[in-house]
Amino acid sequence: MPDVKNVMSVDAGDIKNIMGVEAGDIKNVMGVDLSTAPAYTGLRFICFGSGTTASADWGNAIDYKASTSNGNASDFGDMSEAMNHGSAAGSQGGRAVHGGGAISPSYTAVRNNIEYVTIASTGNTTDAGDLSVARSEGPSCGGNGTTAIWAGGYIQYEYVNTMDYMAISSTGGASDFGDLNNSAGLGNGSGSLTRFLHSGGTSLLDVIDYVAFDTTGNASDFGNLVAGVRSNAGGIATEARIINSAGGTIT
Amino acid sequence: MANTDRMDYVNPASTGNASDFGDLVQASIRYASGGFSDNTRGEIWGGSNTDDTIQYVTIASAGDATDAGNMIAGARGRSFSGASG
Repeated sequence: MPDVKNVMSVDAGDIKNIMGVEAGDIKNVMGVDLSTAPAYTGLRFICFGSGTTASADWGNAIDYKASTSNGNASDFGDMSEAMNHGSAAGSQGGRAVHGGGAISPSYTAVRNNIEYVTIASTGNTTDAGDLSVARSEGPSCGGNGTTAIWAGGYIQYEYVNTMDYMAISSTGGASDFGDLNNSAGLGNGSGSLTRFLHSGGTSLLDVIDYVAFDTTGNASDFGNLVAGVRSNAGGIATEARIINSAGGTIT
Repeated sequence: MANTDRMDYVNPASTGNASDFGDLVQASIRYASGGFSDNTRGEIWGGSNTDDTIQYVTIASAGDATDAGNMIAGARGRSFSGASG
């Protein structure tokens, strides 16, 4: 059953005002489901910029699969160039944006590119502007379905504490948001509807920082991971719980 | 250098330290991609230099990950680049 936002391009919270129909009656009246899932979640998962052979751990491939079942990924399209160590966020029924990365295994050629795809279709990326600072190893991205934040990263021989943000629906590039408490790359970015979290990173940090999506500024201390880690995945979120670190290097 | 299979979680509405969620399928993995959630199920893709595993967890229930399938080329990693929508 299709989602009402995809069918009508109307946010679930606006349905009653526009149609005079209670949320609980939408399915009976219209025959479509009213999604109450946060906008940073969705039924299609997209993975950008993966390696394509056993010897190449960078690439321009984009894979996707449905969230609802087990199975192998399928080809979505291509990024503008082969890379790794960039990071992405998505918006339910909208776009997925990807920023940063390195275009060679030496990590000396870092990118400021932001590219996007339309999640409901397949195809290659389109340019969406630039990060405020080109970087790889991170910049760890998390979103709330409306705004994406990229945090930290690596510019040749130096880790940075920069945070950038951009509306996921925009093609105008990112702006400076503020600073993390530590300069770090290879951490994890996660988002709820209201908060962005940055967890772990270089030097085996156990630090979790957070900011409110709607207020630019520097990060505050959230707490600590179970143990210090870098190169950790995460960003597996609901409003009640975020898995903000999965795997990674610990010594 | 050693890698871990550990997963941590927090409640984003509060502040505080993370808790142990469970373990990944692989005993030792880094550079995987997260960011995958449909509000019930979460997935972790790839990792290290050549791992093509897709694994999933039920976000509301702490526990170990389960194998869900594979990425396309059989050799993926170093992405951090997942998105849901």
